[in-house]
Amino acid sequence: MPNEAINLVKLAYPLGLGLAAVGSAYGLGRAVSAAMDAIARQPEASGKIQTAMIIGCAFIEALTIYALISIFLVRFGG
Amino acid sequence: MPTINASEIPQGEAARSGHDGPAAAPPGRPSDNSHSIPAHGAEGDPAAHGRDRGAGPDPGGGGEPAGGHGGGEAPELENLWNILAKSPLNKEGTATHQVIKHFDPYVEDPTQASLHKMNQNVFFSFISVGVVWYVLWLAMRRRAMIPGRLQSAVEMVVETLSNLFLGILGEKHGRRYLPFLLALFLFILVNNLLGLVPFMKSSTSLFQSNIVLGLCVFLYVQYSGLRYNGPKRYFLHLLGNPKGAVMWLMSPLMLVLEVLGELIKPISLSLRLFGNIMGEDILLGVFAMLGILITGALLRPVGIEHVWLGIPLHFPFLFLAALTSTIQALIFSLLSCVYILLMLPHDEEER
Repeated sequence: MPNEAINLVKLAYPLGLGLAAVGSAYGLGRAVSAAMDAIARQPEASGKIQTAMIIGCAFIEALTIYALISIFLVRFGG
Repeated sequence: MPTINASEIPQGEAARSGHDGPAAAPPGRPSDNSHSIPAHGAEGDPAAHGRDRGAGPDPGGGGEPAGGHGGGEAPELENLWNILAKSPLNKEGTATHQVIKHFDPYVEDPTQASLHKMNQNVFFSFISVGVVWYVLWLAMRRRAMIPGRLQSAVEMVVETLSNLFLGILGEKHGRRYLPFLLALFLFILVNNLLGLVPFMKSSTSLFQSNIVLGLCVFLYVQYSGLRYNGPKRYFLHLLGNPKGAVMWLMSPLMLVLEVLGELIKPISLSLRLFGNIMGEDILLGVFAMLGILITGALLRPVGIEHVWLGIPLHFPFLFLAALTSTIQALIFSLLSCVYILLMLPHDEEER
């Protein structure tokens, strides 16, 4: 393949990762805003709410991490 | 993942165009470790030979990454074994060389690279196990009713985690799963944080260690489900607890779905941990390399060729890495706890 085509194909990975990041940013925003509302309604339960929020955020974040891992595995042959 | 060499920093477009794609790239380090200036095909820039190989200790902590890269390799901070392998101590035939050859990933040919790389990570896993065991042993040497400082600190950590896990698993049945979960959390935490210590590397930043951890969790969850439920109820749980003719008809489909779900869970656990820790490792490596590049570029007009130190640009990311390490260890153990909960029968939830 000519060089320009290869460079275009190599652009695909960061673009895909950016898309995954957009999705996870939206999901994380919703999760954290729901947690904020819950803490505002009942501040004494903030410990449990915070724990649950962290767990939920890790789940959502993991999907972007999967996209990042695929980039590493293909590019660096891990 | 191979570390980076200072003498291969591409000085301009001429050096950059000599790189091949990732599939055809030669490994970034020479196969013989006794030379200080590697001769690479694409990086024949004479100005690059003036750079050091990054073997000097950096007061900024985190080890000195030797910058530059061949096509297709992620930069990484130096750890103990890479520095030893590149140092002049590593001559053929000495005992040092035998030891280093066992741990260093780049002496043999690339088809054996993963086995030797695993040895390096096994060594750092042993270090983390030693740290955990030593701290706990120090704390519990004299079990006083009025605890001293270390004992109360350890008790605080263990008690917080125990309350968290028992809150999920239930007070009655949860106690027998606590040792595994606590050991998992402490091991992963120390492993992650070990990557931030100078000259060390976190063994969770490599794929093999994380898959092993996921496999341990998988085996333990299935074993505890089998032991608690008995084989018959365990299999019924895999079929989806069918009650009635319709559910019995659907049960093969449920079996496939449940088995897939059980297999996917440890894979997702380990991939999450691996991605986070390796990502932060590469982040630290790239920013440290950027610091060295900037210093070199700033000092070049002055005429200083040998750049041994650099601006430690990766310092803010050390805090981010510490936070991420702790959170990921917590997530791993919490999710294992939830998977154990899912294996236990659901109708006995009296907390």
